[in-house]
Parts: sequence; C-alpha cells; structure tokens
Amino acid sequence: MNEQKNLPEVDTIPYLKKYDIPYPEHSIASSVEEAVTQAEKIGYPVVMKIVSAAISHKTEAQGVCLGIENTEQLRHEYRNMMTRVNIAAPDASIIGVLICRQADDGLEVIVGAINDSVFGPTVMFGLGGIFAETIKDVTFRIAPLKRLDAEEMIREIKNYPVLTGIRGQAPRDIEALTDLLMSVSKMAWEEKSMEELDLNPVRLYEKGLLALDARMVRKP
Amino acid sequence: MHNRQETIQAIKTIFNARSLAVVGVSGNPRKDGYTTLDTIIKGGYQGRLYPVNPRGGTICDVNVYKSLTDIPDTLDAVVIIVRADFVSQILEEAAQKGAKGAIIMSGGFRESGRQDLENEILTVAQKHSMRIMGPNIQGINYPPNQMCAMMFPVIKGKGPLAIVSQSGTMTSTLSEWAETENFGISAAVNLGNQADLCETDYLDFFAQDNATGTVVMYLESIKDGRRFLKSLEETSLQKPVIILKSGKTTAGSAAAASHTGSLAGNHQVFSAACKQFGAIAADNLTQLYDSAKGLTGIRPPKGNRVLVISTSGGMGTICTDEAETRGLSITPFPKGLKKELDALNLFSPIANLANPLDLVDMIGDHFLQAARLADKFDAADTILIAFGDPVPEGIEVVKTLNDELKASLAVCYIGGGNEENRARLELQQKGIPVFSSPERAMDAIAASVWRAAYKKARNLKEETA
Repeated sequence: MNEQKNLPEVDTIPYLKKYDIPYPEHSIASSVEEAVTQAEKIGYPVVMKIVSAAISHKTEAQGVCLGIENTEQLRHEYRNMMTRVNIAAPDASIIGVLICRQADDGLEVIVGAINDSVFGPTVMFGLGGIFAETIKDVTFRIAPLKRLDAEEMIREIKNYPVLTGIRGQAPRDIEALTDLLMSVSKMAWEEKSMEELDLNPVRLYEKGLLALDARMVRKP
Repeated sequence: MHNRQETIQAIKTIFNARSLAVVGVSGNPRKDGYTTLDTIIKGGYQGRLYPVNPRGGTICDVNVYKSLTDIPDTLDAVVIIVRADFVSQILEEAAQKGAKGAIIMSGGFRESGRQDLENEILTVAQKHSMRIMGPNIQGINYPPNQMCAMMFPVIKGKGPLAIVSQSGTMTSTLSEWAETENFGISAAVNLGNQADLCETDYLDFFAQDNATGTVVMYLESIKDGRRFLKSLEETSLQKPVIILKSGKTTAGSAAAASHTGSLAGNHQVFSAACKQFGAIAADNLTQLYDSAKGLTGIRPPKGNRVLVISTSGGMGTICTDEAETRGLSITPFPKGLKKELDALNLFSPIANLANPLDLVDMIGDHFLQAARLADKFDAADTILIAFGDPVPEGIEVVKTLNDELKASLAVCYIGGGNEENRARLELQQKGIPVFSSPERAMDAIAASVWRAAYKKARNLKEETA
C-alpha cells in the first residue's frame, strides 16, 4: 500500500529543481553502458542508486552504492547491485540506476515536511542522517514560514552550536539552510498533493548545501 | 459560517445578559439544577433572573416559573440544565422570548454518541440566529456582569485573567487559584462540546475585551487549526496567551512513511505553532497559571539575566538551578558592584555578595539597598526578590522597588507563614505577583523573557502593564 504513495527519488528530483533545492549533479541510466557514459560525464567518484517504483527504502533493499571511483568498479558494482536487489526485492521492476556525483563530507541535517492533521503543511528541521530518529533534535514550524521563523527554528535545536562551529570546525552556511527551509515551506504550501517530504541527509557546508536523498509521500 | 464581528458581539451579549432564564432548576441541593441557580445568586447577579421548572414554587427564595412562555419579560440568554432530548424544545421557546444565546450545561450529546441531538439543537439555534455555549459544560463566569453561570464554584473576584478550558474542572480550578490569590478573572469559559462557539471564537472575543489582560487556555483539541493560528497571532500581539494542551506524550505516527512523519508528535507540532504565533505552551497546569501571573505582572524583561537576592543560601542555590534549566542566566556581578555593596557597610559579615546574593538576614532595608545598587549597575534584566522566612517590611520593600527599578521585578516568597500570606494578597492586589516556590517564579520569569524577546524580534511595542 505504502509503495503506491511513495514517490521514487527520481520523481522527487524535479520538485527539488522547481523549488531551487540543491541536489548533486545526476543522471539516470537504464543499462550498465549508459551508467558508464553518465558517470564519465559527471566525473568520479559517483554514487549509484537503484531506480524502481517498488523500492522506496533503497538502503534496506541494498540499492545504494557510494564512492565508486572508476569505470571498472562501476561495472562491478552495477552487476552486484542488480543481483542484490533481485534477492532483496524479487518482484520489483527495475527501471535502472541513478548516477550522482559523490558529495563532499559535511554536517548532516534533516529537513522535511508533513501535513499535520490539525495545522496542515508543517516544516521540520533537525540534526540528521541515519541518527535523526535517535537524536530527536528537531524543530517544527507551520507553513508558510516567514524568514524569521526559519531563523528561529535553526537557533532552537539543542545542538545549535554544532552549526556555528565547535571543536575547531568551521561554521556552517546558516544562510543557505534558511533558504532551504523557506523553499521546503513554499513546496509544502503549494504542492497540495504532498503528504510528507524527507530531505535526509542534507549535507551542510561552510558554503552551500546539498540534499543527498529526497523522498516524497503523496496523499492517497 | 458566522462573521467574526457578529460572533464577538454575540458572546458580548450573552456575557452581559440583563435578563437570564435558568431552565431545569431543582429544589434538591445535590442536583446541578440547584447548585447552578445557587451559584448565580451567590455570585451576585444583578440582572433579572427567571428560574424555570414545570412544578413551579420557589427555590433559593426565588419564584420559579412553570415554563419559559410564562415569563413576563424578554430574555437575553438562557441557561439550560434539562435532559438532552428536551433541549431543542427549550431553545425554540427561548428564541420566542428573544434570547440571543444559550448556555447549555446538559450532557448527553456528541460525547455520548448522540450527534443527532447536537445537530438538532444547532438547527434550531441557526433558525433563530441564536448562539450556543456548550453543550456539556460546567458553565461560564463573567465577573464584569457578576454572572457566575456555573454549577460551581462561586467566583466573584474581578481581575485580568480570562480562562478558556475544555475541561470544567480546569475552568474552576484556575478560577479558584486566581480568586484565592487576589489575581482575579475577567471571564471563565468551559468549552465542552463546542457545538457552535469554539475556542477560536472566545480567543477573538478576549483579544478585543478591555477587561482581559491575559488569556489562558486548556485545550484537548482544536476545531479549525488554521483559523485558530490566525486568531492566536492577532491576539498575542495585544496580550499574552498561554496554552496547556493535553496529549503531550502522543508520539509521531509509527505508521508514517517518512522520518519527518515519525518525528512529528502532536505535542511538538503544537508547541512549535505556539512559539511561531506568539503564545506560551505550558507544560503543566501550575506553569499555565504561573506564566499567566508573571506575564500579567512582571514588566517585560530586556533579556535573560536574572539576579537573585535572598535571605537564604538554600533558596539562592535552588533559584540558580531552576533558572539555568530554563535558559535563564544567573550572571556574575558587574565590576565594582561588590565593592560598592561592601562600602555600604550594611550587610552581615557572612553575607555572600555575589549572584545569587545571600543576605543571610531578614531585614527589609537590606533588600532595598542591595537591589537599588544592583539596578544602578545594570546587574540583571530581572531582579528576583526571594524571601525565605518572614520579612516584616517585605511588602513595602517590594512596592518601593516596583516603582523604582529599571530592571523587571519578580517576587518569590517561601517559609514566611502569615507574613507571606499577607504579602501575597496585598502585593497581588497591586498587580505584583508573588510566587510560592523558586521553580514557579522561574517559570513566570522565563515566560516573560520569552514573550519580550518574541515581540522584540518582530519589532512590536511592549505593552504596558
């Protein structure tokens, strides 16, 4: 049931473009040869993700491979991935793979949206990555946000100093993060068919940011 | 759909009813029909009061009419305490008598699975342009009109606090607390089923009600989220709004397909909405009340620095802990303040002249001198006078400081026995709240600091107390 509501990442990407949400340079390939061509165009290292309408949790289906350095490795990983996914999700029809430029390391945050049953479109921000649900350091605001709301949201998380730079780390681009929250707010407000949105992780740099994974859930 | 101004006007008309019928009165002191009439009378209602019961006679020394149609007068409002299936008939009759609103205490509607009966009363009300408070409520109290239309308790003390509560028990509890401390209320409303008038309608009303300085709400649900937020934003620009919403532990939906969905508990989203639109989300009932007291009586602090001046080392220490867990700062003394305090040659040799400032003794003048000097040095945004043990000149000291200090003033009083009780009532009468524990005082200060910062960030003018 869930699978029908879940929009695959490749179908979420156009929304990111529409709302000026930075996403790594990418391309879809439907064969290993296409994957090689695209990867060369984008430049190594690359990330390869499975593209299938039936698979929304790509990691669980072993459909993500990071840090591919060259053509040889890409061919090898492509074959491996197809075999793995076939075992993990035998009934899923595979469209191909998404090749993305491997993003630099950065501070991982989560930005998302839900359609709250009382207040409607609501934006979330917090510390992210795979620990987001364990750390639970998140804040919410009701869309549409004013810029001050987004700024207050960012300052409100318990571990805010992580963003401004602790232990010799450089401060992160709070301006870009504020822009992102405003974009997600606009998207949550305008895209009436959207029920939930996850941008997790979003990598936050000294300058700029990148949403590395995007998942949208649409209203049934 | 009702127009907002019409709704405000309708609430005003019901609250200010000059002729009021009470249908379903009883001679049995154990019944709601008796206690309600008794409460209205003891509350000092000055309008024309018409109890109704088919048996007639007299109850509480008041003549009882056998039916609404027998009343030789027009009605502004009607209080209804009869069985649910009789209510729509009573509404019809009340409408014939010109009633503009009904306070329906009777239960047995939607909450008991009888949505049909609730629809029925709404239909009748709409037909006659009548408005409904309730059903399924303990009542409403509007001291400016001395109309305590409640099953209980009798609350007469006028003050700045408007109470809006889903629960009847919270309505009366908060009213009683305000009464006991001389804080006083501008109104108390029990929401019940909110078949017609809902939390947002009352918020709209209290926003423009001059008698109301601060609004507290206890809510279990919200009828129309977006409309509520709009009203909240507008109201909180004008006066403090503090909300306690139950369901704190409700986690995000386990079935949510996204991380965001699973992280979004109802309470987190509600608290965020409060912050965004200027209201304080209280964690519990005492915090709801104390924040209201603080926001009504403490002048908006410029920042989060607090100076504690106390008679007791223990109290100073607890105050420090409680301040810091709320994000308030017990800042060190500015340069030179200790030296000047020493130079006064006034304090005990074992006094600790730092923040928290432990005077050791209970001499009112020492509090006065210490606070004045600290204020001169701009040592804090809020000065907390923390009396532990009885301080005989305490009341005068606080009144003087309240007039003199540039910093905001807050007062905590514990261990003071009769002296403390006297101070609590007398100071509250002057609009200066006194808190009965360090954590309660810090809740109030934290709420005041938050609201002042919220308004400052939005370039809004501070309201004057």
